[in-house]
Amino acid sequence: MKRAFLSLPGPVPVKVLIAIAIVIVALIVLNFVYEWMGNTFLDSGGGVG
Amino acid sequence: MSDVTRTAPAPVEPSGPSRWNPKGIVRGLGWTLIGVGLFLLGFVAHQLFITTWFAQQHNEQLAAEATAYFAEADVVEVEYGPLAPPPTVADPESPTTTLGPSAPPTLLVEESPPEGQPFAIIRIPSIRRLVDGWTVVEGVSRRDLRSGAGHMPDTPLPGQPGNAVISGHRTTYGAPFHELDELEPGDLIEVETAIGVHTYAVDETIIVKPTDVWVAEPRDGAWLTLTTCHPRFSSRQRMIVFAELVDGPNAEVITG
Repeated sequence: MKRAFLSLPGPVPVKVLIAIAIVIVALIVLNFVYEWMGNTFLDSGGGVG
Repeated sequence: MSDVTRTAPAPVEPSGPSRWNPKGIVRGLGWTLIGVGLFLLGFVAHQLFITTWFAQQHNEQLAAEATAYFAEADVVEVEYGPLAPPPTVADPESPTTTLGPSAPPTLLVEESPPEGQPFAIIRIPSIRRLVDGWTVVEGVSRRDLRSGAGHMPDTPLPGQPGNAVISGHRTTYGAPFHELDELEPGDLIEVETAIGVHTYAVDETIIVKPTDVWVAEPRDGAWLTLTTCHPRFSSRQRMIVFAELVDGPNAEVITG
């Protein structure tokens, strides 16, 4: 993890900003994946058709 | 001097601990399993807690919007006769078509709400989480069902003649229909709309396939059909609850 952080470009403040942006994007993608999985396998909302 | 062809020695495959080390493989497998476990743990937490928290936060806001909509929605009275032909059908032999008996009763009708509009509140006194009510929005898309139960477009609104269909989550997003299987024949379901409170009595509960769209087909009288996933934690089947209108502003006119 530390190695990955240090490999980010720019000085430390820029690295921090990039890391935060990556985490936010990853959480958004994860949220979409979880929603798709939930709707497909767990509970689609109960509609028919 | 003899011609001696010298060949370079074959490259030696690295046989050190970094390549086929069993410990490395086990370690990699372990981290993979930990990753998969965290992913699945996150999935369960997301579905059971985050979606519910999201739905509850939104449903309070939607309930306020629905209450405001009750005051804004256009409600009109129309003549109603169950045996009369639809007023839009032209009959050249009898141009003066009457709707129903000689003194036609009137039916309260509200305008169709736009997609996503919270327009009703469903309450089921015999189900704990629906005692205080859950907001019903127009539409049954994933987005519509995130925060409320959803009324299927192209079916009548609650309190109107025909078969009004409302769908809701059973496991996630607040799971408004989590305990729908506890309903028994005769249990009451109240749906509040701009017209008033319509009370339905449960008739029967059945389990069907998700593709059985016949459950949403029109019915004589005034019916409410609730649909949700079945069994819990699976979208393999659908639980359907049929309930008939027994009380409300339009009950007497429709049921005669």
